[in-house]
Amino acid sequence: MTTNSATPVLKLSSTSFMAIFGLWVINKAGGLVYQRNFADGLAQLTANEYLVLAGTLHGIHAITSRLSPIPGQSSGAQVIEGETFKINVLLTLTGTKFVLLTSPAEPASTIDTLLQKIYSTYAEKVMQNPFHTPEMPIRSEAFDVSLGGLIG
Amino acid sequence: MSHHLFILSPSDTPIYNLTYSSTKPTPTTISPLSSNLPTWSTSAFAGTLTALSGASSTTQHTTGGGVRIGGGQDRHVIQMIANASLDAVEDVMRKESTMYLKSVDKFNEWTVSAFITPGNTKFVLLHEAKNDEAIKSFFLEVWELYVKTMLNPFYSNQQMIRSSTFDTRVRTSAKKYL
Amino acid sequence: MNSSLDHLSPTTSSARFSLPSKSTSASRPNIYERNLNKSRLSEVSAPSFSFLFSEIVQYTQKRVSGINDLERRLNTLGYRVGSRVLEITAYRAEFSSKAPKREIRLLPALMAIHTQVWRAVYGKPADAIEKSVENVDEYMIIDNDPLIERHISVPRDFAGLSCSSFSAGIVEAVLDGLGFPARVTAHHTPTSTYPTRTTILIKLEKSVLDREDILK
Repeated sequence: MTTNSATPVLKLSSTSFMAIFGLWVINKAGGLVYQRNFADGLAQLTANEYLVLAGTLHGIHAITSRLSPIPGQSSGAQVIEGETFKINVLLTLTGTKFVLLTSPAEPASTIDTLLQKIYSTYAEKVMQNPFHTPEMPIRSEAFDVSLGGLIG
Repeated sequence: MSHHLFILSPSDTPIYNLTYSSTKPTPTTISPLSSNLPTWSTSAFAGTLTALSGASSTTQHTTGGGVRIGGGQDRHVIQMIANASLDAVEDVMRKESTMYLKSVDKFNEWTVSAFITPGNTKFVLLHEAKNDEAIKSFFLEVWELYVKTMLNPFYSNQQMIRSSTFDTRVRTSAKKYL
Repeated sequence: MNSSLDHLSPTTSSARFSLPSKSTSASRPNIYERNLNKSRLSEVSAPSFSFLFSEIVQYTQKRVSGINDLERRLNTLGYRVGSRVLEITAYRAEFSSKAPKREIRLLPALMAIHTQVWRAVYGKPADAIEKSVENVDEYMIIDNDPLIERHISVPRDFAGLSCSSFSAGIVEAVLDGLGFPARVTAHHTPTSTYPTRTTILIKLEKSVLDREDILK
């Protein structure tokens, strides 16, 4: 699925510019439980705006998976591409979504690998942490540190 | 010839006991009374003890012809001997690093051997004949059974061991070695 | 009473908790028939242990009033593990020996905890063992990256909590069993290279030092 970004924030001189802008984790109810920026390049939004956007994305994702000709089989939208960035979505079996905001030039294979690594980090540092409550905002220092290591 | 096994928890609570009468013949050599007594014990004291414990102290005539005072086959006396030996056991186990402590104490016809597990559970065996190697093998098998009992999450080392399998297995080992 | 037990009975249980049927459990060998050395080298999956330990901490956390209480309960749970670990590791090490031995001196016992016990429980020896400079009755076992804390992030309002209190309980049980009663606590002592570095502090009872003096 491809959309045009309505308000390009940054004119990129080279299409080969590669960056990972940010990560969102959306729980199965559509709530944003984790949001972090890794690089500048996208508009800075308030916490509330991020929450609204995550909820909207959750809705759009639900529509895309319902539109699939094979009912119940589709994982929904995986990439939403704009001129200056793309939104990559990994849907897990439990309904948690990992959303990675990258530059369009970032190759799909790199993104897939990275999303899998983020997912496995999440399984360890978040789900195995006794002080985390499922479906609630993620506050884990170890998760932050590990993501820093993965994305830099 | 009978054997008495007591298992005591680290806090010295009895958690298992077994009386086993072996069918193996009693050795013919019977040492005289004096050598069977611990050094601190006089025969007079032993007599008092027997009287105190209310043992059916039918004086036994041994083949040697001498008269044995307090033939300690009575349950109370057995328990008392086992308990009294604990002091001796504790004394030795502080200095000796082996788990098997053979003949730590003697009282009348009884010799007391002990086995200390690393977790400080004590196996105390009262026996009449000297049979070190067999007793060691017996203790090792009981130890194995004890470790297996400990692996049960519902068992703690302060509780009585009530498993019938444990009991059967210990009896089998006793039959094999004693 | 009856209704509350209903969901536990195998006939009404949901598919989520599948209980083995009677016939399979009957064919499984009794613990007394199993060889204790057979599972010596077998390992447990780290994530499944992590999930279990995480549940243990959550379960305990719901039933305590503060950090100290939580640490104490984790210590108690570790103690139960430690008393068993001591027996089984010693059994595996000594069973085939001609004269099985117990450890009766302090330093070898501490070394055994650092090496054998750690290896049996966490699959690797601890990283260091130190004697306190200030207090003669204190020893420290240091683990740079404790396995049980690898995925735990203690929130700020729990500052000072160390889930390694569980390991401290194991150490306490082993020392107690060997006849070196001590109070064992766990402390988070991070360095820049090892953010989860933990020190297990052993404070020995006076009787232990007195005995060591005599045995010297």
